[in-house]
Amino acid sequence: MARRVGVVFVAVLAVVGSAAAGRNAARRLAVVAPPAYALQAWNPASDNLIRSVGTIELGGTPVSGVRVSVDGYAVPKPTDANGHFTYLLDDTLLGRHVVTVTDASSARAAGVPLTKAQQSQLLAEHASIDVAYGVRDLKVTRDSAGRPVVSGRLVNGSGGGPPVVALLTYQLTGTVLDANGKPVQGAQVSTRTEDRDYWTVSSVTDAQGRYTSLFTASAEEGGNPVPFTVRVSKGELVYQFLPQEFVWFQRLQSARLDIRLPPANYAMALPRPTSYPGAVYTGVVAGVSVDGSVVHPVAATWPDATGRFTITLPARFAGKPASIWEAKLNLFSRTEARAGSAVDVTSWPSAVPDRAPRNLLKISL
Amino acid sequence: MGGRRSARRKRLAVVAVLAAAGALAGLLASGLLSKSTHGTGEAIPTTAPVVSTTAKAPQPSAAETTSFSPGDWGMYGNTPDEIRHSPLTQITKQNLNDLGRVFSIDFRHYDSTIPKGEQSFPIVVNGIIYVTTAYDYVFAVDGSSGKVLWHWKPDDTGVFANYGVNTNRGVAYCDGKVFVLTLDMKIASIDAESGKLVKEVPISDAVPDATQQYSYSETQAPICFRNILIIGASGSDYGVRGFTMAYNTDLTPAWSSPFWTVPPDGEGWRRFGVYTGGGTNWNPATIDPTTNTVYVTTANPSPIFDPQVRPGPDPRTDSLVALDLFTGRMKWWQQQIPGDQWGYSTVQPALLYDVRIGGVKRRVVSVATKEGTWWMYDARTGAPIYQHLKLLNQLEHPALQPGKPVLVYPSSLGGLNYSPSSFDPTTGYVINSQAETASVLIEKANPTAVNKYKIKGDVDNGLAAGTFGYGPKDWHDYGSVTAINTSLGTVAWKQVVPEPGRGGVTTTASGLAFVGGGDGVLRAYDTYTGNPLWSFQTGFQIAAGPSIYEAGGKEYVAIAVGGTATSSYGGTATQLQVFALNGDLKQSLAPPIRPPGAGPGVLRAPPLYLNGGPQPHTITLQLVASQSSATCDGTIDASSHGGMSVSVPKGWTVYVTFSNQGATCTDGLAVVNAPGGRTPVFSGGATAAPVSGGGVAYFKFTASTEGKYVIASTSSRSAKEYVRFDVVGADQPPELSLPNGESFAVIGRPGLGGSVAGG
Repeated sequence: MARRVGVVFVAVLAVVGSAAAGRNAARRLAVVAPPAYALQAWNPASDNLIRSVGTIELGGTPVSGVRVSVDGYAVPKPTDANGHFTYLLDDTLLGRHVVTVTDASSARAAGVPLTKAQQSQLLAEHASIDVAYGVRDLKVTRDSAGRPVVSGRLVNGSGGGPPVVALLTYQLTGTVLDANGKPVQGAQVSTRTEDRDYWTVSSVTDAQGRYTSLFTASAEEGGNPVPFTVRVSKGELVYQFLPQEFVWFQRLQSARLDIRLPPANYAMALPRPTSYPGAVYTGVVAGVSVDGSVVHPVAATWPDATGRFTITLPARFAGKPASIWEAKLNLFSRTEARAGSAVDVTSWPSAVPDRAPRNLLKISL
Repeated sequence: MGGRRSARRKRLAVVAVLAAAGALAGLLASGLLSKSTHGTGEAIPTTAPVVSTTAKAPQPSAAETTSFSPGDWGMYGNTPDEIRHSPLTQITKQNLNDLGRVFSIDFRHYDSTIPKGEQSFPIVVNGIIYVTTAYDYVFAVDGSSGKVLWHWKPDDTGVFANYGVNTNRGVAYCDGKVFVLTLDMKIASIDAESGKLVKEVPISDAVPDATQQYSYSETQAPICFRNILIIGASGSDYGVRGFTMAYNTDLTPAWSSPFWTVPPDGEGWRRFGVYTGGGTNWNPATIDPTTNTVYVTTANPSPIFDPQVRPGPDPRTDSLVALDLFTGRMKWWQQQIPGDQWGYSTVQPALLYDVRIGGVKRRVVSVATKEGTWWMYDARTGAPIYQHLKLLNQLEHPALQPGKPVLVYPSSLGGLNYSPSSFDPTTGYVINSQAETASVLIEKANPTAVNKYKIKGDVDNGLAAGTFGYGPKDWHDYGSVTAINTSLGTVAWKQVVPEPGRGGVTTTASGLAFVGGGDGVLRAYDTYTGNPLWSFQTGFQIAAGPSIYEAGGKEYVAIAVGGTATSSYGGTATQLQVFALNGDLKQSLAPPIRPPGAGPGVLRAPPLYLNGGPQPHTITLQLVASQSSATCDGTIDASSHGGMSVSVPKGWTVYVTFSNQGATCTDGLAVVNAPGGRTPVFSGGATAAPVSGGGVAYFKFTASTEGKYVIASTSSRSAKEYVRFDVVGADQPPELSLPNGESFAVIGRPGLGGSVAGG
């Protein structure tokens, strides 16, 4: 694998003591770094794994004998005399791989065992190995209303853009209530088309009985409305309608379906869905954070076929230091999404998604 | 936590059985059901569930490792090389006539919610059989006596009612734990001794997006070797991204990343749509302990029959892939069918063995495919040795043509589906049990138009008729058993059997090859000559392979029977049957090989609006006013003016669910003597208050007096709307008739609030 040189990942151990702490604080800032690995195109001739090397240091001194875990995977070997550990990284998937220290009891810096306090501090450290698209032509301008406009081009290691946004599926949302009108938590709603062997299963309902689901919203033969079998399950129980009774949904639309479970011994009442335009689209987006919080954009575009995107932010953020994050998202959009088209920002995430690389590039808005 | 869960589970199970038994007793008493009914109307057995023989069960020690003894059948294929070969020699060609059934276990005796059908491959450790059923129940059975020691079920089987394929093919054993993969994409570890859940993790924790929401599912038996658990998943037909992943026995990831078989979403040949994908590894892995290599097989690309939307060879689908056991790094891969367009796959586990070829000892890996061909490669390098050896009598699959019928042999069921083969080291033969099938495939005339609205998980396979095509006229699928001389790469012998082979083969060191058939017959062949030496009718279709073990000094042959609905009209039972010398020689009646359906005189049609209730002598009735009407048309169940009629036996209680779907009107119902009446003739027989548009009301009454009545709208606006309602003699069946003359009887209790999943 000669296609890249691994950027050293450094998890810095903070130590007690003003002088050392000061130095380490400075180093810590230095290593909150740009993306370590440029996302690569997938290659069928390869397993698409590369050896990434991380380092554990104490004030610039390598720490050996430290065991680390990445996304819950225990790296087989502890850090070596150079403080290095090796992690096989899939660099074809956008992602953030969180590194934690799991065992520092045998840790040594310059041959000296770490103190208990140092070990404890080391166990509290974490950092991440990121895989992200490179951002070319990054610019921050202002529109006529004085709002910051961030633009750039997301590119993989071969210079190509990310996969263009695609229609993933439709959306089904609603609530599940019991016969007394109280929310049912822990249930799942499933839908099944009648003319093909396909079904969707919702998320588990929350304390308010709310669920969301992917939803096919079309029948093989194209009829409209489309009949679906709907079930609600919780634990080993299944609630469904009498045989041959269907819920009818508008074709190629999303829908809301509120379900009320029946009292014991009664059949479920047929609910009426409320259909609405829009669908769930999947694609890569670039976003902006200020002080670690997502800035909800005024407008944003999906990357076009070359990866070009723009994000327009509220004017009040003008001049503030910010950073870029990237994520592959499934976003609901009321209008059709295409490469380069506007994102329906009402669905924009309120926090950086868990596995999304962040702090990729620092910018001033 | 584990104890509370277990106690709660047991209590629920008991309640469920009692409720079902009570309901059934009522329906049987009414003459509505016979013991030949299907669905949830299944008869509740009254006989003892197990015919046991002897002895107290040996218990596996908590410190048990994966070092299995020769008498064990420790994993899916017995050994990591998946050759399904037993070193046991107590059962021989000479004493086969004394081989008889020693016990049978009907798993539905223990929990009637277990669906019928069996594809599980038992494993046996220290004389304890671990075997699964559909819905991922795990049973531990004393291998000598047949006593069920414990059984475990997932908490959330309710959601499993959605799954068309709800089977499970077995467990792995390691580190004193039994590992099972659940349909909804979790791994569960269970204490082998107590049957208590140790841990359960969602696979998506380590394999991004590997969830049921994205159409993945698990039916696979995992493999555990050197305390590393290897898994894949199903979902190729729905466009998922195939993978193989490894776990430690504490269910933390053992590899840093899954091995993905095909490109990420939207990349490479998957760039034409989110519905393209596949290449799943949905059968057990094979492991070479000498090189720490894992061999996995991969399934078809999808959409299955639309190659136009995934142009090119679709690399690493329909392939054999070699990976490093400890890291998941790829060593080599070989594709058997580039650009598959017939729904073939490389599915069965690969076999790993040593064989002399041209006088030179080679370590090889071989596999047979759904296409019905056999392939051998150098185990270390992947270099082909023998390729495309035809195992089927007819093997022909021209390219599909949009809008035109194309006859193919075999059908997309194969060939060699998941059915595992066996290698006999003495003869050097690989024995296969295959399906000789055919299908007519008509690709839709305009694939581009068909694909325009395809979305994630879309399983419109691209055919104009039938999900997987349809059978040619006058053709009947059948089966065959083939021995391959692996030194020469030629077929050594072949035997034809009446039904497709779906279950797999197991050989023994005494020169026997055991094969279960779709006709329910377990057969033993002479491995070298192919002569059939013994057969035993188990009574149910077979779609699983035999496991051969020793317990208490005695050799046993265990096989799960019940079959699969996709072959020989199986899916008829869920049983484990075990055979040994001096067992009962009395065979079962052969299962009917015909479409499932009503027994004589039971059913006319599936029910509509009306169905049996969960209690004896109860009926549920669904009445919808102004169905989906913005104008409040006042109809009831889309019929008007008494066009629909319902009759109920005297003394039965009727539970009415009333929905008013009129957008802008209130409505209500009452059981009265004539339309327009408001005073109910039976106590409780009316909605308690007017029901506003979109509202729901429930009421119940007992039909205590024979006579002709109506269930009428109480709305002044719809006063003339009603359903005829007759209370008939107690010996008459409930019935519902529509204006067009269709009538519907009651078949059981599906579709009720709070039914326990299954059936």
